[in-house]
Amino acid sequence: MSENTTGAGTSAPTAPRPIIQLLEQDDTAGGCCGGGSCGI
Amino acid sequence: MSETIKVDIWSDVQCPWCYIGKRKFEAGVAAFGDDVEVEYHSFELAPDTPVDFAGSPVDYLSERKGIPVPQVLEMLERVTGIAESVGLHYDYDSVHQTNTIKAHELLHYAKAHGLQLEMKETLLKAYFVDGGHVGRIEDLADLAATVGLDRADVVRSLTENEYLAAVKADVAQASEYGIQGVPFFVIDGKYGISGAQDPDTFAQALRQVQGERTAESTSTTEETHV
Repeated sequence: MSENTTGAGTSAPTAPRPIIQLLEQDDTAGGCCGGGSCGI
Repeated sequence: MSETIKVDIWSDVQCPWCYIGKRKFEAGVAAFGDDVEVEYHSFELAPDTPVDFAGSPVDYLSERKGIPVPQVLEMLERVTGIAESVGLHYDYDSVHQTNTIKAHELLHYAKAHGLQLEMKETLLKAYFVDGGHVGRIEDLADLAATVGLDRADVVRSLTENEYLAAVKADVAQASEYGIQGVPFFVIDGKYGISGAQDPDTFAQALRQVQGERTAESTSTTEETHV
């Protein structure tokens, strides 16, 4: 068996996941993300 | 007796929801009825903004973010109304859109001198209510002096970028947590609350953490006596 040195065929990297648990909350509460899409 | 619950808050000085969220969080803590330890952390919403940006928030959001002016005006009117509902009198006609990196450095300086909460409130009020400039070192030093910090030493610290690495560490920590918007509250290092939630949400979260601590403490005591 040869070693895979290119990464080909391996699973794609996933986005970072929060390491904290989100509590139950109102998803429509205002916040700012800098892009305007969060309501500023 | 259990230790005081710690709440870490990621926020930016030019984030209108952060000031509103601050008031709602404070109301939640009051309803909770016990002390909490609060520490503010840096989150830069617009790190590409020049310190002396020649324009208003309306100009910034329309020109830099591509949001149509009528939509920007509607957003600002809405957020101003919600701010008013929690006792904050936003004055967007006087706001100086700027870069907040130095304001974040100042918040770290203030933390090192035990005055971070006072500095945070002063910076938010200066930006949203009083038409102050929170990007220039000299203006920040003036604001710092009002909370009891040494003006000359603040100028030195900000000029030397003394706390720039601390700001960047906060930003990196936010990324690690998966924080994509602010305000963001981390309770006891493990529970997250995003946005300017109602006071009840904060109070319930604090009660939940307190309850878990009590249960853990009881469990540990019982094991000790087996």
